[in-house]
Amino acid sequence: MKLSLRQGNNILGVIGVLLGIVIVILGFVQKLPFTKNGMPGPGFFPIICGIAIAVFGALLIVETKLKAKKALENEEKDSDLEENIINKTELKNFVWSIGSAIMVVILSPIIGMITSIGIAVAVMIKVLGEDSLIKAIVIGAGTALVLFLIFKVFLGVPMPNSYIGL
Amino acid sequence: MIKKILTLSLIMMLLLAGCNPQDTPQTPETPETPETETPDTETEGTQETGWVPTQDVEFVIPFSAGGGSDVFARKIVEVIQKNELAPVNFIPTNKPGGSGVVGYTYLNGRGTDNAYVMATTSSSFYSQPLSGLSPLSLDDDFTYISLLVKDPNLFAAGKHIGLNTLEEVIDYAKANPRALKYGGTGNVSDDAILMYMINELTGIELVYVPYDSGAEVLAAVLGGHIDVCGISPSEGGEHLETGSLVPLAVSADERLAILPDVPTFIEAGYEISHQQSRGVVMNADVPEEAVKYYSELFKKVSETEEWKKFAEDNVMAQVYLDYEDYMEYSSDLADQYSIFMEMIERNQ
Amino acid sequence: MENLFENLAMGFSILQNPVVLLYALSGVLAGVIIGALPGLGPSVGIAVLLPLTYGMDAAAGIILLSGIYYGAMYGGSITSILINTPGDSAAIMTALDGYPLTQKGQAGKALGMAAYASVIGGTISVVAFMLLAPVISSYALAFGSSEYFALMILGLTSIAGMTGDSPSKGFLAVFTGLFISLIGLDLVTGAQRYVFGNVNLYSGIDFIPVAMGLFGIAEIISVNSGGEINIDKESIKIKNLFPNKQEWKDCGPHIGRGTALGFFIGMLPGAGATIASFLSYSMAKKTSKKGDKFGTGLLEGVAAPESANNAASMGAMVPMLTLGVPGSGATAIMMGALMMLGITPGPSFFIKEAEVAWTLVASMYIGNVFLLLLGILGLPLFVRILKIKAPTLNAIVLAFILIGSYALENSLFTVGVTIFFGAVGYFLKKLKVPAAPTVLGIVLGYLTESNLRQALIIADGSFLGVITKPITAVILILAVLLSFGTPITEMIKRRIVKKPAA
Repeated sequence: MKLSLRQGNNILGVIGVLLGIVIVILGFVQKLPFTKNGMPGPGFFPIICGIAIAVFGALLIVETKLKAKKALENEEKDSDLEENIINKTELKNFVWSIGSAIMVVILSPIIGMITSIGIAVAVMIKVLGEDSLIKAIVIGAGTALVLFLIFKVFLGVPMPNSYIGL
Repeated sequence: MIKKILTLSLIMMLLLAGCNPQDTPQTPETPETPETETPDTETEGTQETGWVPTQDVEFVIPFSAGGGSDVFARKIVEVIQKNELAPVNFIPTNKPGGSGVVGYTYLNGRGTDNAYVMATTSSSFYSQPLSGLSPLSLDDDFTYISLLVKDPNLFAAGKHIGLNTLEEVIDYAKANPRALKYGGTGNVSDDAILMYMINELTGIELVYVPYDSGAEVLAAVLGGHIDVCGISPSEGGEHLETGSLVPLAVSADERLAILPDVPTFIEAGYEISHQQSRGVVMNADVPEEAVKYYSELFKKVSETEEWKKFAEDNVMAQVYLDYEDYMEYSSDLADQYSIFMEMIERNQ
Repeated sequence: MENLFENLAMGFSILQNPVVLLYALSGVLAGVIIGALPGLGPSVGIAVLLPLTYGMDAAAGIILLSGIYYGAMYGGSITSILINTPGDSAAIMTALDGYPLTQKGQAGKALGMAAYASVIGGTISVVAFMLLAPVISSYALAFGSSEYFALMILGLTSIAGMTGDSPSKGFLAVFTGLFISLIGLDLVTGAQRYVFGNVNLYSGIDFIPVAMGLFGIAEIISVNSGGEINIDKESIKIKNLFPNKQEWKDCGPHIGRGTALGFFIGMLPGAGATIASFLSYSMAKKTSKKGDKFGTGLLEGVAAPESANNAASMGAMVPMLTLGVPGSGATAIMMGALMMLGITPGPSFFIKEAEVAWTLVASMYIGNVFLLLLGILGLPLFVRILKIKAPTLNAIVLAFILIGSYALENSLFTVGVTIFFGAVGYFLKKLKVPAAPTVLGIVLGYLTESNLRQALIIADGSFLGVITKPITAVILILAVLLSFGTPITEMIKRRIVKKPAA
């Protein structure tokens, strides 16, 4: 899979423009007054930010085009812009890291935050690393223990309610 | 070698932490803490109803640490602990957000152990639902336990404006509408309410400048950036005595002991005596015996020497109300806040 | 002056009591540990360890809490440097050059410089505190909403140094950050802004969870292009931990300026260590000859913000103790603690509570020394962290990030925010959008807007009235000069160079 930086920039630019427009529209939808008593109202700055985001999104697209043109003129075959930004290992990291994190949030009210985190750590080590299952479980449990000591015992932070109380 | 030292220090810290029973958490299934098993103290858990808490109580503070509600709650917990008034621990838990709404939503949404979670109340408890910002209903979603203190609101001026009494300020303001700037925290808080009431009842026009915290208001008025403000006397602290902050009038039932020369609004001829009420509530599903127990418990708290000193030091009026009285009081207070919210909307 | 030494001597004598000394040291140790934990900063540390001070006497309590405060200022830099996950908001700038240094194999030097800068900044500030506190507090009040507005604008100009080679991306990031900071209930009117009824958003989106996601989680997902990070073994040998002459020469002025700036800004009730570290980094970049190398791993880029944030923590204590006006979020909590311990800070604090005050001052000297020892001795230990294999380290760091963001407000929503921004942050990283401007926008956006609107209300709606106030005007002019100064001077230089050729 290939996505060049240039293409990525363009996508980002488009997202910027869309995001900016959405912000401005939502600002009006929420009926946030632009000015109030002659002074900036609650809608003033958000809408300005929205406009700025759209503008810079567009500028990014322009900037990228100019850079690509310049690279072409200077006959740089391997310019930064053509660099592939997709990396298989990173995608795997992404899925499993974010996925485990989301899982922790979902499971915390059920089996406790510390336990969920322990499991997440074990899972990540096993899937993303090269260690054995036993090692993964040990590190996961160890991390959970350390977190327990630091956050529950030392700092006294109340964990989200769960059936276990962890 | 280094590792040893560091580990030793860490253990030291853990021990220090562990030594303080306050910090030792209890999971819901653990039975009573042995240290407080003293059958001969007058504050034993058994009363007429016989209900006694058997697990630790979560004391929710819907604001972040260091604020008025936080200090209030932690003092209660400290008094309970020191005097061994209860057989279990009370664990203060900060759940800040949305001017209290997050904390109260949490209290309300708790499905289990309803008899073991409670929260503090202050003005936002009333103002948020009544201004439409909270999905909770003051009538249906809460059980009122006790009222403990009332925080008076003080109308004060900065030294730099050269006006020293309420009358002088009113006269000046009448001659110069919108000239005096009044600082307060938030926009539906007691500070704001006080200003709009002053405006409506005296006919002057003070301009409201909102700040995010009492500290900012204090800094602004001391620095001469705003002219007057609404604060609680404890926030004003020493400045009220040294003269950097000139107290003009106090919104309370009677004059404050630390400011004997400052009239109440009522004495000055204006029907303003609104104060911030601080009490304790629980969610709607609490068995009556538990309610009675806690109500009694807070009564005992209010009768201790430490509590009295605390209230005095922080210039709060002691007004213990038990669960039945508090519920009625709250109902009236909610009506008052409704009127206040309408007043604020009219003026904004 | 003699009085000063007498008082100080008294302070030190009380400190000889081993229990009191122990509290000072434990405070610092706890602070460093908490500061190092991603997301947990001095505010959370003080809030969470508050219960420990029950029943302590006032002096011990305040000594413990202030130890935590400046300990955390140093602690935050540890993870900033080693794993690009700022331990707290004041350490975000440290990551900008600290992490590249680690990537170059010079983690030891970076950590060492962070320790030195923190301690030097801290100690000089204690002296300033001691000499000036009773006297200078009223100056801190000269800053009102319009002045803070100007200061925030000045802070925003430092974005110029963070855009990298794509200004569009930098500005896109900053405005997105600014927008995010505006989400929540409006201060002036109470209107809901982009909240859509979600209670958790009423108070807006806090930037610490965002920073943890953008920096920390994004880093976890990325694969280091050079494989494992190798530590240049030389850089952690004790003798090399002392910066050499050249390094002192380079960093010295920055530490000096950072300390002065940090203390000054910390004293202002409306600005704290975070803003101080931003401004200090920005100033260092502008005043250093190697200005354009900032961001690639320059020791100066670590020295400046670190000295500033420690100095700011001391500065923040000035208005808190002498005026009863907290200088920052963490000092606000400390004040609550003091009031519970029965002490009301105020103008006569140094007189009425002389014992407490001077023991505190003495403890801060000792605390800073201990901090230095911790930093140097702990270095080999900290650096060992990097030896852990990447997948394992990543998993453990993620664990700390998740629980850290929970502990901020005891809310799972905050964890959700962190995860969301972690995902977003990864994409931004891939697209080479710098993370710092986004955080800058979030930190400064809301404050800039609210201060401006307050200032306008006070000035009866006149914008001119706001910007023509003396201090405000000076700061704004400074901001304009700093932003446009370089391009203008460049333009002038080019004209001059062109002329002879023509």
